Amino acid sequence: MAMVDPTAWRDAGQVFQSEAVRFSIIARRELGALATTPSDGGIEEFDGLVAGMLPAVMETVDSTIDGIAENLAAEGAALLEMGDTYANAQPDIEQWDEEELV
Amino acid sequence: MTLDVPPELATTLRRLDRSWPVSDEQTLNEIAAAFLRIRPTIQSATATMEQALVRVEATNDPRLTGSINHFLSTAGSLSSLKDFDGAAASIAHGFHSVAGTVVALKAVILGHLVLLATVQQVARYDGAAGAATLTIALEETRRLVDEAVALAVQAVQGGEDADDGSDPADVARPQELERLAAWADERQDSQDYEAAVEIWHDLLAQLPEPTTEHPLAMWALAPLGDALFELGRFEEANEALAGALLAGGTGEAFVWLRKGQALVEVGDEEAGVEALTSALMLMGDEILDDEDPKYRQLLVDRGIIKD
Repeated sequence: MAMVDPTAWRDAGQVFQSEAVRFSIIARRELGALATTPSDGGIEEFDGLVAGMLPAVMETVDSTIDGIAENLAAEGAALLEMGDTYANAQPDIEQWDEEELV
Repeated sequence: MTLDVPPELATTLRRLDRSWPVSDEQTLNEIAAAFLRIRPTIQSATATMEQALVRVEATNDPRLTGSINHFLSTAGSLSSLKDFDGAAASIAHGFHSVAGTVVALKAVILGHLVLLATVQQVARYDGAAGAATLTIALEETRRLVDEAVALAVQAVQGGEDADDGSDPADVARPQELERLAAWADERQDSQDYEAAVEIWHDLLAQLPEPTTEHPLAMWALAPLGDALFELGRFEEANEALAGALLAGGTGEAFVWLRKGQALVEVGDEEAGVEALTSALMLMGDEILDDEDPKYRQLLVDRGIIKD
């Protein structure tokens, strides 16, 4: 008899969705309000370069955080949906025999 | 704490017609710390999701789990999240290094200002000859300061032109080197220091001579020194960390910390205190928070920090 546990799929879906939110909130909290270093009145070539680092990095980091959080949430939703699908099909799946495993 | 030009040298700086760097090493270190702070969240999220997938695999027929779990753990966002953890560490290293460069540039400029101020004082009592000497000193100091700024700019840009004229072998195996580095990092994070040491040695053996000039050298020698220190192999740790400093790690507080600790452990307390003091100058005494209290006590005993 084939094993199927819809609850495990649903739990995994919920874990993915909640971790997506947690990751997004904490990353935003830690990285969202970082101050860059000043550049006015210093050595233009050097201080300008240093001051420009954080905005350049954050441009990529922001979109990466958004992308990862959105995709994790979407994958969580897919796992929840799989759980529902397998819950509906559970009696049929449990009837799968060893031949069908080959 | 930010290194600033002392008021008594401000006039000399104005006379030099050069500006003091306004980049703030403390802010740069805070940015680095923020990137390091998100790593535990990423790592715990990754572990929690992997555990959930393990449970799915354990309680469901493989025909139901195989394809989706493989996708989620290798090509999905779980994999992207793991990559982001590594990226956060690299970004933090980068900002720490730039903070070190800012401190180094300020220290160099300060040194030149002190010398110039001395020449100014002497020149006052030497009439026309003194004025000529001062003019030469001003020109020479401007040249040296400009040179230091150019080097600092080059350091911040991260050696963008570093591959120019280099051995093609340097760039022929970057994926292999990255794979080894990721593997060693993973072993080190799991506190499997013996394995990490082996892998770091393997990686370093693949770098062309002189090893310390390769862009990856510092990033391999520093964790190698750390792993050796954790294993109590202090002589070897000291050697690896000396290499890390040669390879450009002078702006890395952690390298100085481990070097100082290793030196203390091998009995060279004087040099150890010096290295620990360098770590403190770069990152403050909080760098000792998670270390054996005996190192803090040593610095207290020497009057470097207050109890």
